[in-house]
Amino acid sequence: MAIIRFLRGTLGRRRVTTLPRTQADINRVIEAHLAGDSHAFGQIVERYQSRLINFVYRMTGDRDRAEELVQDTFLRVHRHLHRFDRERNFSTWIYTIASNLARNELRRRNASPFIPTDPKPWLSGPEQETHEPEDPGHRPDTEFDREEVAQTVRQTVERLSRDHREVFVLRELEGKSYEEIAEIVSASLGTVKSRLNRARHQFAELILRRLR
Amino acid sequence: MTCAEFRRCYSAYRDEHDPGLAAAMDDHLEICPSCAAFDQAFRDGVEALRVASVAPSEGFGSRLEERLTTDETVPDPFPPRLPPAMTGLGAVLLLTLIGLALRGLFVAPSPAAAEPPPLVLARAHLIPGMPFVIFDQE
Repeated sequence: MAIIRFLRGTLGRRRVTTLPRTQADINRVIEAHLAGDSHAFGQIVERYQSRLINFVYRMTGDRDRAEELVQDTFLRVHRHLHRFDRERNFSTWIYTIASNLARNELRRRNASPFIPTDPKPWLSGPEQETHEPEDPGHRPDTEFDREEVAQTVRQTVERLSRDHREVFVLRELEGKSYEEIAEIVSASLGTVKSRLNRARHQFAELILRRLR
Repeated sequence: MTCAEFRRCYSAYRDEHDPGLAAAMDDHLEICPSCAAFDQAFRDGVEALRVASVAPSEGFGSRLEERLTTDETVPDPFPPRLPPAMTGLGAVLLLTLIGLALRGLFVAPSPAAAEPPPLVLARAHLIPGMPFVIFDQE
């Protein structure tokens, strides 16, 4: 219940807190959480929620589902935090959980053709409501261009295969090292390098073709 | 550096681990419009993706709070792990089966086992008079 009290306080009022940055900071937060500190888990949520939502969103192409999967990730972290080996990298651990959930989602979606997909997944959610006025003609050209480019690049990422998309997002957008990516996707370093090489080339070729 | 070499080394160039390679790639970019367009498209694309990142929706925190309150079960993204004793037992059984299979393949049967049993033939006796034939075992 301590975590609930903290979430009410932190996420509800958006209180400014010092978020853990390093692995040592995270370990201190974990220890505090396990010792019963009601603020600790909320700091982990604050630290990782945006980056995980973006990671899973880019993997699945469905913003609402991405938020649900990230919540599943936090539920799992909350439940198993006492088992986390603090010699390991926490960020890699939480990304591994999120990545596995995203993969399961994609596998489930591929297996069932009856699961509806958002016709414009990259424009769904509140972002669409705030950035897309009813009459696009009234929007300044620069904003229109920026949104068009954003949509183009998101669709380009969606065209990469699941394995290529995953390493591409983890490296180019999340800034993970090869070693971290290898652990997150459960592949060898050589496989990660090979996938990333192909993903980068494919991405650049697709972008070039679409922007010409 | 040729365009093919540039493309081959592009991923390593992006990682910025090798200053020598970076210098050679930069030199090529200055004289090759095609590779420069390739590089620029890549950089612009990644930058556009970064800019287009999303923030958690308004209800994210309250939904998470609700789910944590009810301690909702979530699907396990990891395969279930067997206890070490079960894993060890499974490994022993597997090795035993493999050993038995290999033994059957590579160990030749003993000469006695390989020799077929002697064939017992019956000898026919003709009995005069009646049209019968009886068989005697030797």
